[in-house]
Amino acid sequence: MQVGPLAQVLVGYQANHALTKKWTNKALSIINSLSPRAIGVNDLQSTMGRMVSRAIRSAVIAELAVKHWQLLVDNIASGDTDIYNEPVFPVGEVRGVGFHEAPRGALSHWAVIRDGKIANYQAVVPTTWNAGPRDEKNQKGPYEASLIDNPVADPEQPLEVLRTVHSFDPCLACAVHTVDMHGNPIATVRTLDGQQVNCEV
Amino acid sequence: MSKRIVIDPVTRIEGHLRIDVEVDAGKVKNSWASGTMWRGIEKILVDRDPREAWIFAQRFCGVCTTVHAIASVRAVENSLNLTIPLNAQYIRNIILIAHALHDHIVHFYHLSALDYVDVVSALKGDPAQTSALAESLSPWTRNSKNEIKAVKDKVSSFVSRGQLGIFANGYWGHPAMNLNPNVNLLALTHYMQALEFQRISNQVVAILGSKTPNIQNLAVGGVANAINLDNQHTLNMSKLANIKGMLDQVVQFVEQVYFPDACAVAAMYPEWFKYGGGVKNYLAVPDLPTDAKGTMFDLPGGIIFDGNLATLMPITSHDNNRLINGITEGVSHSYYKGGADLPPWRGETDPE
Repeated sequence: MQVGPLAQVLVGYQANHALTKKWTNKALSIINSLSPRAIGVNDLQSTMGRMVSRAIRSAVIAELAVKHWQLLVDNIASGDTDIYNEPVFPVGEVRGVGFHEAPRGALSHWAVIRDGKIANYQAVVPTTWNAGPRDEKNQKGPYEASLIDNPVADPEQPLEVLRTVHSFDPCLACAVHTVDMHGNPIATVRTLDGQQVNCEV
Repeated sequence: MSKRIVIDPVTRIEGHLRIDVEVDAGKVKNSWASGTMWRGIEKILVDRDPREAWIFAQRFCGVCTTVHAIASVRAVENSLNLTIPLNAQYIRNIILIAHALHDHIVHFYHLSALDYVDVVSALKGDPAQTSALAESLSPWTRNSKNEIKAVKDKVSSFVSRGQLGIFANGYWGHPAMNLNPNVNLLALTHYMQALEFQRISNQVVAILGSKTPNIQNLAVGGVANAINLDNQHTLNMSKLANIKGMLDQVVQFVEQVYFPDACAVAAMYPEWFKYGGGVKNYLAVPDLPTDAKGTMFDLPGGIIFDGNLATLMPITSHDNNRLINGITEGVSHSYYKGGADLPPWRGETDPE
């Protein structure tokens, strides 16, 4: 599965979602007024299509931002100021899943709660869908598959590879790097299993 | 003769990604993607109070913190069948949209546009011609010759002092860069302006969320934004009007700058609609609920197979069986221990 603004635009377009149709048609009309090649909705299934889909999604949700601001103001004006319903956790096990269509695509958090405490927690994030490598059947993931047959004019400057990878808007576990210019250890930390490790980079 | 290229880490993204490709006769023949870091937040959450899970969960990421906070409170609320007040739904939605707009603007201008826009070539652009071109494309009021010249002068002064700063290490002059100097200069001008508008969008997140990254206003069961129109310390009309003013500025930037720029760059690189299709099964989940129970949505969800739009299976609810029962996590090519694919509720997160 590929997730992200492209998936959302294709789903919305096919489902006749009014805002998605309006902004997709507008994008295709601007592109076709400037491009030497005719571009249709199916051409969006590509590196550049992911870039354009993100702009389409932005225009769609920008309109919805104003709508939801108005919904909030109207609801408050009707006299409703409620903001919270208290959760009560039962004895025993319950489980829940939270979905969100995040900027990089479909996100889900899965929680198992036992006697009011978390027993298991898993996050299935958009970049896991897209950047995940080969699966158990050895099929390539979306990043890997999308790179096949990409041109590379100069292997020393693989700009074209970056175009395709960047088009997914990758988001992985991040870190802060501290580097000593002369390669000396900066700090020593103790890991959970008791080893001492020098942190160099 | 094929050549292996390793890009590690890939930069201008969020986090650590390694890409390996095998290139033969000017084309990629094989490729491998690797995530090289582990955070372990799933482990940290075990045995904790579910009401505080979202505070930890949003540390999955340094940029899209908000999305994990939302997914986490939704997961716990879903486990209790807990409905949240309508105000909470709308406040969350405004935060989600403002965060997403900030994120998409940053992605286009600051993370990916420089794969297509040559900053060094931009300095050969002519501000008067660039301004005329811009005004033919959009009613945006900040495409004047003076505004464009100021950006050109600023970046030229970096370059003349040998300090490219944020523009160091680009592939300037690469044969695959084909915009003319005026278009490059226009994109560079909007790159600078985009810094302002991504900030304004993020300010909306900060006003409603108390801070960003890592918002503080959520609660399992709703939000912590007290509403009292007669109290200056709570969410009141003046704060709401302030938020509206900011949203209006961001909406205008998206419609008059980001959207036409993305379309124009696409039109000038039409060959990139031929590459990069890859896996053509698509999944989107519905979002932006418009009722308290979260059963009606302003953004549609669905699944599409094999790149054929006619195969669309709409997803209209977060309780959709295919979603709940169809998702599994596999570890066969990962740095995790484990065997068969597991549904996430029985998922394991044990590094090798």
